[in-house]
Amino acid sequence: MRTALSCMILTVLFALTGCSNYKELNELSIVLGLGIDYLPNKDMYEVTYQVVNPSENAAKSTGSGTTPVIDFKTTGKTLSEAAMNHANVFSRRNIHSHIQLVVIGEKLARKESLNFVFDIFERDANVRVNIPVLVARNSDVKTLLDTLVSIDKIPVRTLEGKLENASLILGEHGDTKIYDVIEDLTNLGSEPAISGVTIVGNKKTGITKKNLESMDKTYVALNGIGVFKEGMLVGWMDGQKTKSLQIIDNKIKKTFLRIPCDEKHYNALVINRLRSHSHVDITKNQAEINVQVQGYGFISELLCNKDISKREVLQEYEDKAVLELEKEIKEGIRAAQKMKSDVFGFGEILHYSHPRKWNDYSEQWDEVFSKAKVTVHASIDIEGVGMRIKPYPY
Amino acid sequence: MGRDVEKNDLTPDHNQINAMPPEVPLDTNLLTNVAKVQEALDNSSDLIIRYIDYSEYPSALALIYIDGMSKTREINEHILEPLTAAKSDSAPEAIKHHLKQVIAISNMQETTVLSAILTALISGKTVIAIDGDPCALVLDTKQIESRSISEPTTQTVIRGPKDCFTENLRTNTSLVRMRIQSPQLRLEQMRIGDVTQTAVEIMYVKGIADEAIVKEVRQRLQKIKINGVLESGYIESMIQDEQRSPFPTMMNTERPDIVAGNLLEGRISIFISGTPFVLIVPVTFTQFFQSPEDYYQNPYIGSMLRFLRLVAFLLALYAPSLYVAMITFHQALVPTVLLVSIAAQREAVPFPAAVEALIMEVTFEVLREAGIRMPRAVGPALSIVGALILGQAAVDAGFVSAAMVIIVSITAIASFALPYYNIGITARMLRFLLLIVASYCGLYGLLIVTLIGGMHMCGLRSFGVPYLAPMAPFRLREQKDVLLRFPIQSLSAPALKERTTNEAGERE
Amino acid sequence: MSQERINSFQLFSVMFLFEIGSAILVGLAADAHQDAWMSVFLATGLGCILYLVYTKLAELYPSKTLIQYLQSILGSVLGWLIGLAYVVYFIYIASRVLRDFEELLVITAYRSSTLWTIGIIMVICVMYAAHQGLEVFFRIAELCFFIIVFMLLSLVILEFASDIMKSHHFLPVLEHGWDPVLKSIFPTTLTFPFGELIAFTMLLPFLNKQEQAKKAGMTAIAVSGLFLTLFTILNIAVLGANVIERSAFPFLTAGSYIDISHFVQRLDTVVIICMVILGFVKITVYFYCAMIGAAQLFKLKERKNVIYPIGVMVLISSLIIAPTYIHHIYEGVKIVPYYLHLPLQIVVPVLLLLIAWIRHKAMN
Repeated sequence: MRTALSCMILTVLFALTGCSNYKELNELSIVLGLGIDYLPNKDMYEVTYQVVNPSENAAKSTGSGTTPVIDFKTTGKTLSEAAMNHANVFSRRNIHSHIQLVVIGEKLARKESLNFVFDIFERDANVRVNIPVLVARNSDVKTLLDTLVSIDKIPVRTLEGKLENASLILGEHGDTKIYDVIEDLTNLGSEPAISGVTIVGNKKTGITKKNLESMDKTYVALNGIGVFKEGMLVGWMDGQKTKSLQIIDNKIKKTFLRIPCDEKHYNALVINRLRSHSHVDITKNQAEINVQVQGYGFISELLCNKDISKREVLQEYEDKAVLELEKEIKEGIRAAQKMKSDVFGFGEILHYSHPRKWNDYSEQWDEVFSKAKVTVHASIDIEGVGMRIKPYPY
Repeated sequence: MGRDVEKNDLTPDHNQINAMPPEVPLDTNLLTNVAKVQEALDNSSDLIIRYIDYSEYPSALALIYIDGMSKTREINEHILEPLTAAKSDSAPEAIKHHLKQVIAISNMQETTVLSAILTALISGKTVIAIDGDPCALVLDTKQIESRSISEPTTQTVIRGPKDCFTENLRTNTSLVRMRIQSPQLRLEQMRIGDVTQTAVEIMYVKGIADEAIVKEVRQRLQKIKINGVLESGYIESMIQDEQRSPFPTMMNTERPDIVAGNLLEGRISIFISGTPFVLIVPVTFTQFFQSPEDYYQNPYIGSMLRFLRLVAFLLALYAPSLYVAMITFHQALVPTVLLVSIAAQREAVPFPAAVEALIMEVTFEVLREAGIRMPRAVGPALSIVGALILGQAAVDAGFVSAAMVIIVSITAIASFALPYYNIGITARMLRFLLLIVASYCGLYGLLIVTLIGGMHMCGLRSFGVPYLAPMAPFRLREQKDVLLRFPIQSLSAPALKERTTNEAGERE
Repeated sequence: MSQERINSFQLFSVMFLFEIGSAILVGLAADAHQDAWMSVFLATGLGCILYLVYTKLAELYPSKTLIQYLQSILGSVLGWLIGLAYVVYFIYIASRVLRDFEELLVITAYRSSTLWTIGIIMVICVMYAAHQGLEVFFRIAELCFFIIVFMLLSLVILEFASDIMKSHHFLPVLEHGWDPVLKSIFPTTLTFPFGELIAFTMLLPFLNKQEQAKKAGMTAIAVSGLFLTLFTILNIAVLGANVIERSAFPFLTAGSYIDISHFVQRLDTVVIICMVILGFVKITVYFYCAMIGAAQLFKLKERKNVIYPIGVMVLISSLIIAPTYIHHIYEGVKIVPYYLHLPLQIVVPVLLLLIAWIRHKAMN
C-alpha cells in the first residue's frame, strides 16, 4: 500500500517535469512597460515592449554601461500574435506580470478604438489590470518609451511616478487604471478620459545615453487629457479645466486655485479637502446637471497687501475662489459637451438615481448630455493663512 | 533483533543476565559458593576475593567485590576493620547477626540466589558470603565516577537556573527532588538492556500525572527487548508511538527545571543512567516552541518569543523552497524592484535556481556537521573557511547569487533559534523534501505537501495525546499556555489537573 | 457504529469551509446583478430550513447514515438503488469541485500544466486524508478553519484599506424588481452551496454529541452565509456587476485589484492558496461520503478498500465531465441544479421525512 502510493507520487513528479512551468530567471525578460499602437495601412497592431536589463539595474553595477532598458517593437494582427512574434526579435521569454504602465498610441486611439484592446489584460491571469494607462500625444509610442531619464533609470517608472505625483498634488491628471477604462467603456453612461504624454525637447538626443550626461535634457511630460467617445479619441482637454474630471469623480486629493486680488495680481489658495455631489435629472428631454462642491483650503501665497486679519477680506477671497472653482468645473463640462462625450459619468448617475428615466434616454444620452443645463454650486472655506498673519505693508 | 528474541525466549524475566545460571540457590559450603561466582565471572581479573577468619573459625567469611567499582577505602574502614576486631559465637546464624551489628554501611541486603550476587557485584556492591549459611550479605559500596554538575551546553537561558544533569542517575533525580520537595513525587526503577542492565527510572507526581499514562509508560518500558541502552535515544525509539514519523513525539532535556516544570504539568519523565538527557512524555508539537525562560521573563516577551520561534521554525522549513518556487514558477508574485534585483544577481550564475539552492543547503549542512565533530582546536579555521568560501568567494566568483546566500543564512539562523534540537533536526530534513517538491511543482506542490504533512501530524499521538493538541483538536481553555503565555497566576494548578483528565478523555 | 468520533466544533469548522468552498470562488447569484448579495443573504435563511430537514431525519434515525435510513424507510431494494444514486452523485460532485480547482490553477499559475497533473496531486492528497481517517481529517480542517478565516479577513481589511470600493456599484437597488433575485435563489443559490449540506447526512452519525448537530450546523450555515454575503458585497463594490458577470473567478480578480502603496499587491496568490485549501476540504468531504456510502451499500468490512477505486473515478470523471471550462460552468448553472441538486438535495429528503413521520405516527 505504502510503496504503491510512493511509486505513484514519483511517477507524477516525473510526469510533471515534462510539462513544467519551471522558468529560470536568467532565461526571462521582465517587461515593465507596454506601448500599443496601430498601423492603419497594414491594419495591424504595433506593440512596443520595454524590457529591463537586470545587470544595469543592480545595486552594485555589474553592467558594462549599456542602457538600463531595452525597447523593441513587434507587430501582429492581434496583441497575442505580436507578443509571440517577439521571439523573432529577442532572445528571452517575456513575462508580462510586471507591466507597470501601458501607453496607447494616438493612431490607435483615433483610428481604431480601445474597445477590445484591454481584453487580453483581463483574460490573462498574469497581467494585472490595476496599472495606469496613458495616451501618447503627438509622438511615437516607441520614441516616447525610449526617452532615457536620469532618476529611476527606467522610463516607464518615471512616467508612472509623474502620473501619481500629478494626481496627488495637482489634481489635473487622474491616475486612470485599466479597470477604470474598462468600466467606462462597458457602461453606457460614461466614457473614458485618459491623460496624454508628450516628449519635450529634442527627440533625437532623448533616446541616446547623451541625454543622461546633458543638463539640457529631453524629457516626457504629461499633457492634457484625452476624451474618448465610443472607444475613440475625439479630442483633448487642456489646462486647469481638466481638474473638473477629478473633482466630479471625487478622486482629487489636493489642488490649488488662484484668486485674483487686483487687476494684475493673484493669491494662491491650496485646497486639500474637496467633496462633490452631482445630481442629474431629465424633464422633457432636457437634462439638468447639478454639481455641488464643498472645499477647504489655506492661503499659501499673497501677492497684494489686503489685510487678511479682517473677516471681510477673507470672505471676499472665499467668494472669488468659489467663482474660480465654478468656472473651472463649468468649462470642463462644457468642453466635454462640445465633444459629445460624457467623460464625467453623469449618465451613470442618472442610471442609478432614476433607473426608469435612464432606460428611456440611454440610447441618445450623448445628445441629451451635450444639451444639458449645467449648474455648479461651490463653497470654499479658508481655514488657515500659514505662518504670517499680515501681508507686506507696501 | 532476531538474536535477542531467541535469547529472551529462554529467559522470560528481563532482569536476568543471559550468561548467568538462572536462580541457583546458594550452597551452605562457602568454597562452593565462591567457586560458583568465580566460574560465572570466568575468573575475571578485577574480581577480588578475600577470606576472613572469624574468631577461631578459619575462612568463615568471604568478601567479594570488583576492583574499581567499589570504594576500597569504605570496604577497609567500615567492613574489614569491624570484622577483624570481632570476637563472638561462631555459629553461622550468630555470625550473620553479628555482622549486621558491626558493619557500618547503611544499605545492606540479604540474598540467597547466585544471580542476585552477580547482579550486585557488577553494579559495584560488596558481597559477604558466610560459610555454613546459604545466604549472603550485599553491601552498597558503589563507587561511580561522575563529573560535577556543570552549566547546560545545549539548552541555555539568560535568566534561569544554570545547573544541568550529569551522567549519574542519582544526581539527576536529586536535582529534580530538590525542586519538587513533595512526598507525591514518585520514582520507579527498572533495569533495561539484557547485557548492559542500565538503570531506568520513571518519575511523576502522583495526583497530577494521569495514572493511565503512567501505566502505559511502565508497560512500554517493560516490553523493551534490547541488548544495551547507552543513551536515552535508545529508549525513545523503542517506546515512541510512531516509529516512521520525522517529528519527535518525545522531548529530551538536560535541564532539571524543564523536567520539574513538566512534572508539575502532569507529564512523566524517564531518567536513564549514563546520560544527562532525560525524556519527557507525553509531548505535543507546540511544546517544542516553549523555553523555560518564557515563564521566567514577563508574559508579553514570553508570548512574543513563542511566536518568534514558530516563525523561525517555518523559516527554517520553508525559506529555501519558497524562494525557489517564487523565482522559478511564480515570478509574478515577487515585487518588481526585488525581482529585477534578483535577476541582476542571477545573470551570471551557471546553475538553475533549484540546483543552486540544493548545493548551498548541502554545503551548509556539511559545514554544520563539521563544526560539531571536529577537534575543538581547529574551530577558528573552519569558521574562516566557511565564511570566506561560502559567503564571499562563491558570490564574487558568480557561482551563487548573493540572494541565495542570504536565504541559506536565514534558514541556518532560524534553525538555531529553536529551543529543542530535535525539532530543528525535523526542519533540517523536511527542508530538502520541500525544496525538491518546490522545484518540481512550485507553490501548489508546497501547499499539498504541507497539507499531507499536516494530516500526518494530526494523526500522530504521543502516549495517547494528540500531537497537535490543543490546536487540533482545538480546546479554548488550554490556549493560555500554548502560543500565548498568560501570567503565572492564571496558569494555576487546577487548570493543569484539568488538562490531564482531558487528555485521558481524548484517549478513549 | 464506528469508533471514530468528531466534536461539534470540528463539525462546525468543516461545514463552514465546505460551504465557503467553491462558492466563494465562482461568485454566487450573478444573475441578480448588483443585488446578488440579497440573494445570497436570503438563500442562507432557506439553507437553514433545508438543514433542519436533514437533522430531523438524523434525529429519527440516530447513528444511521443517509444510505442506511434510505433502506429502512423505502425498503431494501428501492432504498439501495437510491443509495447508489447518492454515491454516484457524491463522486460526481467531488469531481466537479476538483475540476473547478484544476481549471483555477491551470488558468492562473500553471499555464503549461495539464489538468490531470494538477488533479492527480490533489487526488493523492485527498486519498491520503481518506486513508488517515475521519478524525484526522476533521482535525486538519480545524487548523484550516483558523488559517482561512485569518486570510479571508485580512483580504477584507486590505480591500477596505486600498480604497478600491465604489458604493455606486450597488445602485440602482432592485433595478429589475425582485424577480431576478428570487430566480437566482431558487434553485441555483439554494442548492449551491446550501443544498450541498446533504453530504453531512453521511457524517452526522460520527458526532460525539448528537444533540449538538442542529446547533453546530445552524451556526456554521449562518456564519458561512454571512461570509458569502460579505464577499458578494465586496466583489460587487470592487468590480461592479458587469465585470463579475464576465469573469470566471470574480473573487480572484477582486483580490488582484488590491494595491497599497505599491507594496501590498498581487494578493491573488492568497486567494489561490485559500482556494486550494478550501477545495481540498470540499473534495474530501464528498470523498468520505462516497466512501462510507459505498462501504455500506456493498457491506464492506474495511472501508478503506474503496479509496483507490473512488480516487481514480473522481480523477477521471473530473477530466471527462466537460470538454471546456465554459461547458463545465454551463452544466453547473443550467443542468446540475435542476436535474441533480433539486431531486437529491430537496425532493428525496423531504419525501423521506414525510414517510418517516407518517410511519412514526402510525406506530404510535
